[in-house]
Amino acid sequence: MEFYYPTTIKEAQEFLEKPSTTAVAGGTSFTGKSVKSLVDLTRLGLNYIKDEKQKIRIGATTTVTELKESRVLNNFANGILPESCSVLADTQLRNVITIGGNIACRYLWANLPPALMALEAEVEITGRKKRTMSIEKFFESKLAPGEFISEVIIPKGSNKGAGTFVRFARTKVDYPLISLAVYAEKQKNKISILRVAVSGLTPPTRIKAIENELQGKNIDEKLLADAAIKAADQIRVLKSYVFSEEYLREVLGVLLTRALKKVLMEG
Amino acid sequence: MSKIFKGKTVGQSVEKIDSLALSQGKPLFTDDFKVEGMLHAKFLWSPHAHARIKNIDTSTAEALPGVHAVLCYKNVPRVMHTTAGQGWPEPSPYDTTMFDSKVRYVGDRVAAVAADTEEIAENALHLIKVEYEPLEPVFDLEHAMDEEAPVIHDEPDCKYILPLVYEPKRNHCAHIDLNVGDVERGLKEADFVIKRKFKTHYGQHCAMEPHACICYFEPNGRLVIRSTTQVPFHTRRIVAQCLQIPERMIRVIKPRLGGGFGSKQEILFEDVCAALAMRTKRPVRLVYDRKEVFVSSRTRHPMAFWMETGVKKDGTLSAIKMKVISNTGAYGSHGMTVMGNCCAKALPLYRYPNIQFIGDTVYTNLPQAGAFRGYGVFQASFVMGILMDEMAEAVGMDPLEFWKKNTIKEGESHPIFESIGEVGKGVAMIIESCALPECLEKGATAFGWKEKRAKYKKQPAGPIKYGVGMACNAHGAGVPKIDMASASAKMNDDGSFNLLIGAADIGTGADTIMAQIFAEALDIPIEDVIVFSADTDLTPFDRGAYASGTTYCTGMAIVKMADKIKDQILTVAADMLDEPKGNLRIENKSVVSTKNKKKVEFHKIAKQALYVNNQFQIAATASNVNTMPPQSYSANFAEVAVDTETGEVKVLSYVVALDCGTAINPKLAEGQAEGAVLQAMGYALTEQFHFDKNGRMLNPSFGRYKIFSTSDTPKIKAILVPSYEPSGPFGAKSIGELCIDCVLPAISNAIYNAIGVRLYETPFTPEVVLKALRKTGKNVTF
Amino acid sequence: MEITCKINNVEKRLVFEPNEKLLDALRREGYYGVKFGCGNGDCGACTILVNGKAVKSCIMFAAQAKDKEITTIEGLSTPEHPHPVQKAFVDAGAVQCGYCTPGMIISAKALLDKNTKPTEDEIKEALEGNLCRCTGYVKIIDAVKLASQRMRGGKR
Repeated sequence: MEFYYPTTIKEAQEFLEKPSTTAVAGGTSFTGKSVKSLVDLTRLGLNYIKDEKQKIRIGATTTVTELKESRVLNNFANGILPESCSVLADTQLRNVITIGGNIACRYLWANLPPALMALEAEVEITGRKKRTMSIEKFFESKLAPGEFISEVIIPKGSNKGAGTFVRFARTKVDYPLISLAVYAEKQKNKISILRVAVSGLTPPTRIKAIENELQGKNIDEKLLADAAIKAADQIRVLKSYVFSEEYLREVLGVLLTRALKKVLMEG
Repeated sequence: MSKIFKGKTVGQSVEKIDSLALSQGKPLFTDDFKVEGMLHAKFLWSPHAHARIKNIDTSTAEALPGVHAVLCYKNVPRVMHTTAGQGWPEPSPYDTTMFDSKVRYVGDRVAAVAADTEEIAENALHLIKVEYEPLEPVFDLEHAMDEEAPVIHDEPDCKYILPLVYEPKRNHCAHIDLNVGDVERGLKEADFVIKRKFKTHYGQHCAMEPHACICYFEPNGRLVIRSTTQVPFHTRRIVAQCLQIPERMIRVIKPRLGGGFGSKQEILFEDVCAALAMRTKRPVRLVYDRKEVFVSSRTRHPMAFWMETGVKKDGTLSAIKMKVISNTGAYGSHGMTVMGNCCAKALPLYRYPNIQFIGDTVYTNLPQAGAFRGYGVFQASFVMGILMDEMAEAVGMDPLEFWKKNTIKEGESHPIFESIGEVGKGVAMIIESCALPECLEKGATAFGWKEKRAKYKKQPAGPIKYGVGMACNAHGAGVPKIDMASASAKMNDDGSFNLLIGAADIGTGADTIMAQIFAEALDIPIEDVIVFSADTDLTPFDRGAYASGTTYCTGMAIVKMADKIKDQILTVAADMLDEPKGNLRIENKSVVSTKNKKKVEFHKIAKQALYVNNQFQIAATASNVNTMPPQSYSANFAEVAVDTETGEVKVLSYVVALDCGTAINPKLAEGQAEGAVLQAMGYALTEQFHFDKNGRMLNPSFGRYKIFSTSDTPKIKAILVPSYEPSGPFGAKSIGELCIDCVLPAISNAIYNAIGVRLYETPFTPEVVLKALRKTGKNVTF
Repeated sequence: MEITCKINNVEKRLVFEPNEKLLDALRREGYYGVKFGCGNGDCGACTILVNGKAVKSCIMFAAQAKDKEITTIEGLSTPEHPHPVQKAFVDAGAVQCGYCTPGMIISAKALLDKNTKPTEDEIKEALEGNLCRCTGYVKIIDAVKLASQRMRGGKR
């Protein structure tokens, strides 16, 4: 087992093409010994948050603490991304967990993917070639040898609405049993944009069904509540030894209702 | 009326003598230690809940380069013993041997390896070939004694060494019953009879320091055991028993210890570490990882209670039936004593004239339960705290008034004291210190009980409902007539003293407390007391840290010993001052005459005694055996917010007003109260052992077994209400376990106040709360 | 393998297996104040500062420390001059068994270096990754408030 310290993107890519290697940034996912050789991505200058006209570009090794404290992100879409960061693990872990790592580990319970899905973010993958895809697509695809997440791109087009992030767990720093991100925009009293993303009780996913159902509708408390319960009923729930499937569905329905009311009916 | 004691040192929040060194990270704990040539040991654990080992082949493992020994049932002596750190003869069954040819829970011992590195030891584990014959397991404590249940301890040589009920072939580990008065008549005379079933669950201490042990040899071949033990002297005795060597060949040292709470009141693995050291003739280090602590150390005893209680319409308690089955897991350490305490130490708070207690402990193929702060009083207080609340409601009294009316008072006694103690027969006792009425008053005022009860009669709109609940308890100090502690001191040239105590400071600050008591007794500043503790070669016997006995029992040994020292000092001073001894007294590091201005300082007395005339070492040893377990008391108040749509319960504030007699060190006493309260809160709301259907624990990590961190902690206030216990050192009783007992019932009662639903089973998880709400049809949907 | 890094302001050469965690490498070098509580990143007893940030050393590879500046509890003070945070922990009665204490103090120091007047919620957040079973956190939070007061007042 080797440990590599690439100083250029090209070096990183070459090391990652060696057999049995994997990327490391924060390193928090390796609680045991690592069988694979490790390629340290934190010395490539991929730690940045760039506020451009059309996009916000976040380097893959930007830490959760940096995201949480970023003025740019706090002023964007109601600060939904920093909100997801403030309930992510604890201070020490936030200091080293990176946005790239939180996505690349494909945790079913991770906070950042649903928040990024609600913002329609994309990941840029660097390898022999660069490719860009949505977070959803990333979860369905594989990285080829030599590839790693280099950047997360958030389109700025939709940022005038309200967003909220809700997390359900046993204690404050617990692994989330439910992570829920909701972003919405309204025009007069109609829902013009709605994005709902969830993880934890289910793999990170957009709940397109509720988005389609409520898109364009007039905002009404009963409408939101009914849609939320329906969405919770229809979702695929992973087995958990902590709480039963019925209970988690019920809680999702409650949290989703509250989140929808918050983004659509408050302020 | 009790007087209050406040001394120059006792009653002051002096700096804990090791706190600066600890805050600087000094290498003071068991594993902060290296010995040349030290080997590293690892255990092989059973993957089965119940199985016979048909064969075990360790030859490949032994042949791995770097491996020095592999132990299993084939190559160690079979010595039946108990791992419970209790006084001899132990009131726990001898149902354990170092390695057996049968495994009784997932996580039971199969073999152990000592190797040059941890990595080699771990690799060797994979090379041990074990052939198991799986057996049917039993997990349900309510069915463990059924006729068809598989027999967990079918070995012919398990036994108690005391005449106690023991039926291992029925998985029946212990039985105690007790009758006072006429319980059937008492129930008939009651105007209200409440029958309820309660259940408590598996939980664990979660001390931050995992269990660790390093064994090495002195040049003359004696074995030194350096370990995270609450009971150094019991460890010495039981390891000698297991290894079949004389006790004089063993020295046990307890360094600074990172939390115990009962988890280290066991001879958990010192026998194996020592056996490996003796087999390899090398020092051996054995440290649990956190998963091993969860699965293969000790836990809380889960229990089921069947209760029946009767109360008259004027609020007088009339009769109580308590039937309990306690689950001790695969082995019976503390199995009888924890169950017995549900009666012995929990019930004497309540003025019931008619009492029936039937207690049984059963074996199951689950992790082994052991000593854990509260020790039966915890489980019983949960049950009693809710029943008192229900009875108060039935008769239409405010719980505050109901508790005041029905709890024992100063000057009273209780028939249970005489009938049953923590171990065997009890001791008759009259309550000489009880400030519970004042605790109720002060606690209720600080908490705002009356105001909050009134406020929450009208709940705000929305899904969050609020409620308050209360509960009280008593918890006796030590195990009377059985606990023994001793202390020695010697005087140095400069008037300072070495204080030698066998007592185990497990993070509680016992070293500091004992220094304070000694300093107070001799009227010297605490800086003049140098404490050395918990070394079986250098300190006199102490039973160890458990049963809330150190302050009360060891403290009195110090008082007695200080008297002897005082006498020697006065003798020398009388000679130096040419004054009759009767005219002299101790004052401020000196001896002064009450009749004239003659005075001589301690350091001069010391030099005189050591060097000048009639030389002798001013020194003394004294022992103490308690004759009774005086009770400490607490009144607890909890405020909760319940989310009726998700079932989440949040504790908003908690007040505990407590009477521990004289608080020797108020800050340390508050620290005990605050820590105990939060420890119980996690158990009440979020902590849970999850098992799969084969008895394997699914969540053996802090990541998945959730204890509270800072962000989960509500406002906690501990209020010390002083009283004076004449039999205790400067009026002190105990506090170690007191404040863990009432959190469960106070929260359950508060939840009831908020949403009208009573929870009789722990933990009160959000799903449990929501289900209970739904059942009563009291839920509010959006 | 071998790396250089600074530990408590001293240049150090650390030698370790590539797979080894920083906690184990540090304890092997004699930094016993960095504690093993879980090995899983859950309890915080192993907390150190890396380039000024609080980090759990049990889930960090020793290799990741290359060219970094590490502060352990041993680096916070001399015997004659404890760090104000250490002194505050002692004075507030926040040290019981002391096993979580080094990690707590490091997390508290990291907070106070960044935020000289933290609210109670900010203190709780900074310490939420450090588990303690003895104190109920009450006096630990008091200690951080006390340290913050004293450090602002220029008192030691």
